[in-house]
Amino acid sequence: MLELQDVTKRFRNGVTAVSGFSLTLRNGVLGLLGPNGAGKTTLMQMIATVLTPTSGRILFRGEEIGRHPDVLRRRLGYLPQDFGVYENLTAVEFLTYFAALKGVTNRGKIREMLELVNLHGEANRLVGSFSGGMRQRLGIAQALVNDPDLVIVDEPTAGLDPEERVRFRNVLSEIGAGKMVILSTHIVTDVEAIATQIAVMHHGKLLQCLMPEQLIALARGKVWQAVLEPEEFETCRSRFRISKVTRETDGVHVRIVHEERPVQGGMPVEPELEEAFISAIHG
Amino acid sequence: MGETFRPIRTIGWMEFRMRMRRNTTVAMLLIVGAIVYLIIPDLSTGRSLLHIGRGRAFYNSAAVALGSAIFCSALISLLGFYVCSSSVRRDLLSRTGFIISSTPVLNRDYILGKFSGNFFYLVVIVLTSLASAMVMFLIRGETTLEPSVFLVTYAWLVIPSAVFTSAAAICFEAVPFLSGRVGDVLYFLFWGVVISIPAMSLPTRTGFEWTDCLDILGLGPLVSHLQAQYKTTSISIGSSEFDPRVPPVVFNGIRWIFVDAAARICTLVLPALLLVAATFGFHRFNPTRVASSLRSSKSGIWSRLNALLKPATRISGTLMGRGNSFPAVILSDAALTVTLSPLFGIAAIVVIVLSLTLATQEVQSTILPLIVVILVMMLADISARDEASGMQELLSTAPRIRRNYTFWKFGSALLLTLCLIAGPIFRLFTEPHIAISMITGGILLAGSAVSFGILTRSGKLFVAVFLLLLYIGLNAREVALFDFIGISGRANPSIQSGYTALSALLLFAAGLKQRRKASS
Repeated sequence: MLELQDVTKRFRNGVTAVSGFSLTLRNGVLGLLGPNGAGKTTLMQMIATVLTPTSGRILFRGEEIGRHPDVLRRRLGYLPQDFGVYENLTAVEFLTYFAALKGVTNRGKIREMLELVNLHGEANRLVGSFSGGMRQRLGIAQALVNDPDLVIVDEPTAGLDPEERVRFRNVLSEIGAGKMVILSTHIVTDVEAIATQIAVMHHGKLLQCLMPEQLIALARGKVWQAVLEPEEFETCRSRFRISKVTRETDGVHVRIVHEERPVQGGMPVEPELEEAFISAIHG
Repeated sequence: MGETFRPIRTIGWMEFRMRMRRNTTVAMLLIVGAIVYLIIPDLSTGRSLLHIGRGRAFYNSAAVALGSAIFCSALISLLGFYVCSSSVRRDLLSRTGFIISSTPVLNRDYILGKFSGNFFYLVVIVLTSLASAMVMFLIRGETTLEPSVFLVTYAWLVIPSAVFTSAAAICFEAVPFLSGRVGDVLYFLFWGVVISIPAMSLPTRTGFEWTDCLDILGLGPLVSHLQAQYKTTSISIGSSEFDPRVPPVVFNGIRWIFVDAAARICTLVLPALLLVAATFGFHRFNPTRVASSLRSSKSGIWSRLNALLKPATRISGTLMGRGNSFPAVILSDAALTVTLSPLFGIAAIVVIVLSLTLATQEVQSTILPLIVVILVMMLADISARDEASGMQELLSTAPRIRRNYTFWKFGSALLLTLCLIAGPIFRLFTEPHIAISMITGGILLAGSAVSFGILTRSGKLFVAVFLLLLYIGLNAREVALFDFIGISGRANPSIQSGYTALSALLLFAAGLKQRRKASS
């Protein structure tokens, strides 16, 4: 179990990236959603022991990781944002290196990980020649090589093509069954399919932490569908948060996230997760 | 026990392996071989490697091993630093450092691992020098080869130097305020101090002294033996002319008695202290202590000073975008260099004012070396910065730049160089041979900055080569060859044209690489 108690990170330049964040995490995939600059990466870095909190405590199995970071480090798999590679190593060498740093001596584990991420055919190829998706899969392989209890992946699908994204999500979904996985992203569809819990962050604060269906339930009655004239649409766009737009022959079809009926003829509709997220962020 | 050392061994071995796979390593080994070839001249040319007192040393194994080992030791301790000090930065740029910091690897193990990777890499360079020296001895020696003499001499003289350099390289990378371009220059000063202190006490040396702890080149034991055997402390190493009328001196080698061996072992104290400092000062990739994302390793003080001076860049900013002709694009890049680091702009203004107000003698002897230091720092990243910041692809879509990248950068570097040396040229126009040296030196600086940046994708080699050249030039003012920018005013037309040809050759090589990349 991972417990965050009133965690705050304030940088020397006065910026508070994370403020009073409290959360308890058990096995499953936690999707950490938030707009750019919400403090997701800072929070992930604190959990991964890369950064230390200014105040508050992070407990892993009851041990405070600020005092005993190795307790978590031995059981942690971490894939940072914009993960790069040592270009003149092969995939096997790269993985062997990180396995050794994590104290893994079983060579069979390297092969197993490469098979898990479908890179066994490229094991002896230089990683400098890998595509973005292959590098990310190698990244997740290094994160899993020590069979961790907690896996942290920060914006892992940024820059991947749709097929790679789906493949990557499936890998995360598979490993999430028996482990704690924290997946940070601002792409809602990434967490929609695999997250068992969603934490919404904004301005460094935790706004909601619920199951996806609960988050959607909270947004019920706040999402509206309407067909607008083009002029009406322009006015509407500047006043409300529009989640979807399609131009058709009878006018502009829009979905609006708003507390009350935003326009005449607006009909309440079942919210999607992305709309629930917008609703949570903007109240 | 084996488990304790596993992370150190893993990190060290991986570091070593990655370095050995780089093309620059092959280039480095070839350069070392070439240097050894040059410093051990054929005696029939009237030049010799080692001079003791007034005579040349007889080419036996002891003399050739000693001369080449001292030379290798100096080379390793300076150039080796710049070659090695990029391992933490690599982890930072690739962001694998964040992963490492989230593993149970101790700071101590990381530092020792990187240190050992550096050390074994330098040992390969040492072995290359050793093998080259033995080959040269087989060709030019005057007696039979004694490999054990070479091995013992290199082990005692060069290995402590490699240990020191490996430790300094990781220390200057791990401690945030010592890293980056400022650290590169600081190391050069540090190196100068470390080799100067024991050198100062050499003439009066009678036995073991505390300064022996800093004697990374191993001059102390050498001088002791010269005093004992030949009643002289005068020694000259490196290819230079000898008087054939003076009979050669037979150097029987250093007998490694206890006090000398102890002195060499004591030089390990300084590296140990550097490693302790590295371990305690290591940032462990903490984002609050290192600027991880901007792919720059400028120290905090440097960044803060530049931030303070940022308003001054409004002037340089106006020079950007003055049209779309090639000269205008060159001007934009030069203006960008000053806008990125306004400190350089301020420094340039200061030296221009000083060079216009001080006496011509001071301009030549003091301001010119200062200008070289500023230019080395200013131009080091001029071509490497584009790839490091991920801007290369974007730039290659701009008109004219893709195919003319090398000349664009060279134009920009030369423009900045000329701005700085314009003052001294104006003041010394009455001595045209010095003014010409300044111009050819400026071309060499600008051409090398661009070429080394393109060929090695880093500014470190440029910094190392030119700080070394400046150091040698200042300490050997009577040698015309080292007067690359008119500091001593001794360079003749053939030396000036030689430096210009070298600049052209480097630019040609860089241009080839760049064009091949652009067409791929």
